[in-house]
Amino acid sequence: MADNIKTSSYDALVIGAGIAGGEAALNLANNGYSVLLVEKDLSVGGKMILLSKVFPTLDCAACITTPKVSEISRHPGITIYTGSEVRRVVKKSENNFEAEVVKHPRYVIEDDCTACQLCEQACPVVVKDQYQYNLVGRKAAFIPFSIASPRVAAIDIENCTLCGACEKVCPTKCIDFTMEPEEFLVSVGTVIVATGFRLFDPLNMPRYGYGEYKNVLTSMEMERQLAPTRPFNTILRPGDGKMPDKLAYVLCTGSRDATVGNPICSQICCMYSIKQAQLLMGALPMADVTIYYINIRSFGKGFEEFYEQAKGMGVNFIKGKIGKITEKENGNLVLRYEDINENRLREAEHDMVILSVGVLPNPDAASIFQGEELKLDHLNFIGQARPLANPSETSIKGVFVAGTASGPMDIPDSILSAGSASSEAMSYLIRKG
Amino acid sequence: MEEAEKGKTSRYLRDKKGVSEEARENLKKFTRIRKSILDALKEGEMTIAQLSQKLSMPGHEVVFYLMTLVKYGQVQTGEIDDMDEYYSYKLKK
Amino acid sequence: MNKRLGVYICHCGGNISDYVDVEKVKESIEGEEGVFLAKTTMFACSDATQKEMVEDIRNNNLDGLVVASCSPKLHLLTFRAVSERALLNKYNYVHANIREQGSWAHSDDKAGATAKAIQLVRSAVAKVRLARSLDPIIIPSKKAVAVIGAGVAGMRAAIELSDMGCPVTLIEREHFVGGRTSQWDILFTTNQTGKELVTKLYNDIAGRDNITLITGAEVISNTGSIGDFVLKIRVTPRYIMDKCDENNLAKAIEVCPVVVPDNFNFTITSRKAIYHNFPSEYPHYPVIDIENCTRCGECEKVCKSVDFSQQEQIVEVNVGSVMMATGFDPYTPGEGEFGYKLSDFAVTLPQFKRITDLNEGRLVYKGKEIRNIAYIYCVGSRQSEGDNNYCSRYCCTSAIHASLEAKRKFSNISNFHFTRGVRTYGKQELLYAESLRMGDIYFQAYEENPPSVDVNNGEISVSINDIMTGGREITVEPDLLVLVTGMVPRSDNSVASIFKLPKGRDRFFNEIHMKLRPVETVIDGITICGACQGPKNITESVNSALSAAAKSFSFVNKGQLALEPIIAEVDKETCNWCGKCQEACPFDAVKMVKEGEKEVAVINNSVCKGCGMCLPVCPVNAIDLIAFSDNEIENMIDALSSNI
Repeated sequence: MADNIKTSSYDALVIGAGIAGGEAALNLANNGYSVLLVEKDLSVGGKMILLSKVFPTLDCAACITTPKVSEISRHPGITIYTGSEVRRVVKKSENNFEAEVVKHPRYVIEDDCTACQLCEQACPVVVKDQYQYNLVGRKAAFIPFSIASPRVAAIDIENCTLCGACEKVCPTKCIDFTMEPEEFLVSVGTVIVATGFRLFDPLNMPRYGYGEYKNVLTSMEMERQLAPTRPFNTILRPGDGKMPDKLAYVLCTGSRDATVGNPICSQICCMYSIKQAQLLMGALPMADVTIYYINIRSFGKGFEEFYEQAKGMGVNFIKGKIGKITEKENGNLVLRYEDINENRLREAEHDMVILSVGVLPNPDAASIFQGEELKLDHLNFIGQARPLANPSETSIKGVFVAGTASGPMDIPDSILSAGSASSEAMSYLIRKG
Repeated sequence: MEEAEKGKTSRYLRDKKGVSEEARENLKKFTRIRKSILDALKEGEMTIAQLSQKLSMPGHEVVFYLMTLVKYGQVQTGEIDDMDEYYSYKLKK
Repeated sequence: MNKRLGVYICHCGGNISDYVDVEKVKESIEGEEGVFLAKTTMFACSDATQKEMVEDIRNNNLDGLVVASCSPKLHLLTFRAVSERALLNKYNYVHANIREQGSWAHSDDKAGATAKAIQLVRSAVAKVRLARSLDPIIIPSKKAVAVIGAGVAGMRAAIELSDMGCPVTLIEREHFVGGRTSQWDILFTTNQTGKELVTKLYNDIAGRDNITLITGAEVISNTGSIGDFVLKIRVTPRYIMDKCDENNLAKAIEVCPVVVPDNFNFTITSRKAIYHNFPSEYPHYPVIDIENCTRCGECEKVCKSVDFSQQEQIVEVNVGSVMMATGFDPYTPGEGEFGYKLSDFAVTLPQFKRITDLNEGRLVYKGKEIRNIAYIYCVGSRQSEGDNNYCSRYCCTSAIHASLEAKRKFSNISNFHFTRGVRTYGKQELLYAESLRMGDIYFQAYEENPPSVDVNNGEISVSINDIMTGGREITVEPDLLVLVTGMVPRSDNSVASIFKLPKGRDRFFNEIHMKLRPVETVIDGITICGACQGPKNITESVNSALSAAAKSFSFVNKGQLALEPIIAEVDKETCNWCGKCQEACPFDAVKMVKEGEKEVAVINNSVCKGCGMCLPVCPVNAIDLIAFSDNEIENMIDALSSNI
């Protein structure tokens, strides 16, 4: 086995190529450091690259992400492994970490693929497209999404029937089913953990009927419906293809709720819901949009003004927590709630309901550190050893945390946190310990 | 390791690990549904509700498969009804 | 000299193509003189399209590039990089903004938006035909950074820069370091006090050779720009000698007859004219407040370290980058605003924090034992009338934290919170939950009906129509009323005008782009961090400080910088020095030089920003702006106005 393990060394290892990891890698590379950026997904860009527009400026997410992603991809100081995992990191001494990285086979030779999509056309298999949050199908031979980086096909080997149709049509013969996982042993001087967050799964809250009622969506599914690369090319109810005209947002789904194990506020849901409401008012000019909230938390720069703007556009805000959702025969949904302002129980009918799902920790990263322990906080986010003066320090000296791996954050805060982590990583490298 | 010929490597992996029953079933199901939707649309434009009734298939499944066929260019979106509620869909020429 | 041009028209994934018929734009432009190829693309900025452009330019020997997409603010640099990768001089690329100036502005008129987009692209084509290759101006960059403000953000940034091997001048207007943080007791999420945190940072700074800390220091002027800022700093003396005798100084403080309000304690206490902020304050030795000192000489009698002969000094520092970390002021309520100034027992949140810090055992203020405390939130924030529309972000958490600390430290405290909806975002929510568990009472006002405060014979009563109890009117008569005041920009922000720093609608300093360039300003080489950019808690301030440190470092670490060559140029033949351009220049970039007998204007390349202010004032039209010459502009106007 030892024979086919490739060895290499870099100044820094960045785990996770979302917006935080990418930003951290760029900062390091722009100051002359070599970086290995490892991403488990098939594209860099994380969750942000899949968003529609971003609050409070309403820049389209792709417009901000793609140039960054492009800069990361072509930076001579950054090596990117997508579809790859960091299996193990061991600290040997200061400025000396050893990491085991495995690159899963994509079954496509990246350098030879021209993204012509002939394989995608030829592939007979259709499965749920995870990049469209399962709203539509994709092939087993596929390009993850149109602005993916690298923009290169991949084979979903779990669902592939190995019929060979893709190989036959590929003009550059870049599909290769003989590919095996590649293993790398990497030595690096410092590590940045930017493994991001998970979204709350509303199946854990059966009273809202997600999964059972097809017109109850998550906010990420709505985000895809609003994105330029949207699955339906308009807004439709997944249950029956009707254009909705009375939409409801249920804030704090899976946040500020100890009964589902997440007592904290997710920090982003108020704002992304207000943003989506504004975009919906543009996409469906006749539609009513109502946001049911406990407290609106528009706390960042320009956020309160953005909230006021939504009110001015006619978005309804109702203070009240949704108790239960039931479905009518026509697919409409009845929301039962306590209207706090009016102090009474009410019901309201909507034809589409969006659950503003919260942010959960992604504790996977902790388990890859062997020897010295990478400590989590009591909420299972990566623990911050000295949160005030050194917010990106972890329990291991020389390992830094960037972005939402340490707790809920919006994009501007994630970028500042990444700046902070890369800054600390640089001075750790320069100080030599 | 036996050297597989470039461009014909799927057989290599098929021999080596086979294909799961699930993947085969999934392909069969899609092929069947695709045919039924395309056959139905041969008779003319239809909304999702109409397709759902004709094919006795739940609305959400029709949305999923029909939109996939739109995405891969076999079906196209037609006009929306007078109530601005439902689009109709037709075969792409 | 006919150019071979490539034109790319972007859909922007619908942002443009939903309103502008991009195919029609392409067709209209294909016939234009010099256009070798025209293409539309879903996202011009995507990696794949960038690659395609590079290949097109190389394979077809294109010598001009036009990209018609979003604002050049977003992607000018992206496509300049594309040109460079294709070995095309980047000044042979011209941008047409058909999104902000096209599709978004005319979403109600598709035909009009399309027609306008065509004209915009035509004018870009007209400009690129005349474009010439330019080289960047290379200037040396001094490897040193000035950090203005020694609060937690500035101190932390200074340490980081020092770690990176970059010399730092840390400039603090006050005579003591630590800013607002030194005024706080226990800090949220830790058991550390603000003083302890500041002390740690100060000790770290004091032990470093490459950080020069100057206190009592104010920047009074700047000549120079990125890579070479020359700051003049006025340093006011402490009137106390170094290595003073602490015992004698304590006596000096005792004998000083002058008593003035103590701003460190937000005026709830008083101090002498010779003073410390607190006993272990840094720098260790006290200072004489010369404004209020009567020169009575009592202190000199008991302490040899007092030295009234010390003079104000002007210090000059030369740095490659400047970092602003000037912090915030707490909002000061107007007289009568929620009872402020109508009762001694209506205080602001910062004052309350000092009161709890200064008391032990029992909470006593102005002779009265405090048991029931009411807190009114959003004072000076989220104003519907007034300038501060924004949320100050830190105050909900800070108020709840302070109220809990008070409950822990003193017995028999009851807290009543009059909120507008609590905003303990993220993990701070746990603090709110804890406060509820500890029995604190929360009310919430209707948006249009804020709580009201009455003061009768010195007794305060706070009334609210409470949302949480169905609009019931509730009145609390507290011993102390705390106004939860937000953050406002520094009232004395003269340092900002020295650097001509732009401010946002909220009057805090403005970053270039919240997500793309969050710590940079439009003034090259000047970064911003901490609460001077907008309300932040300590962790958030430090994150931005370290980001800004990395950014400032990148301006200076290579020892040189490449600057934009888009600057003014003077035709020496035509110029017969009149000095009007020098008067018009906001950057002092124009100098008069004698060339033989003739006096002419000369532009300083590294200072000129290419703003163009000098162009219209020249009576003989001797000045042109490179890349925006009269000829180019006229051709663009012709193209814009053709075929209408």
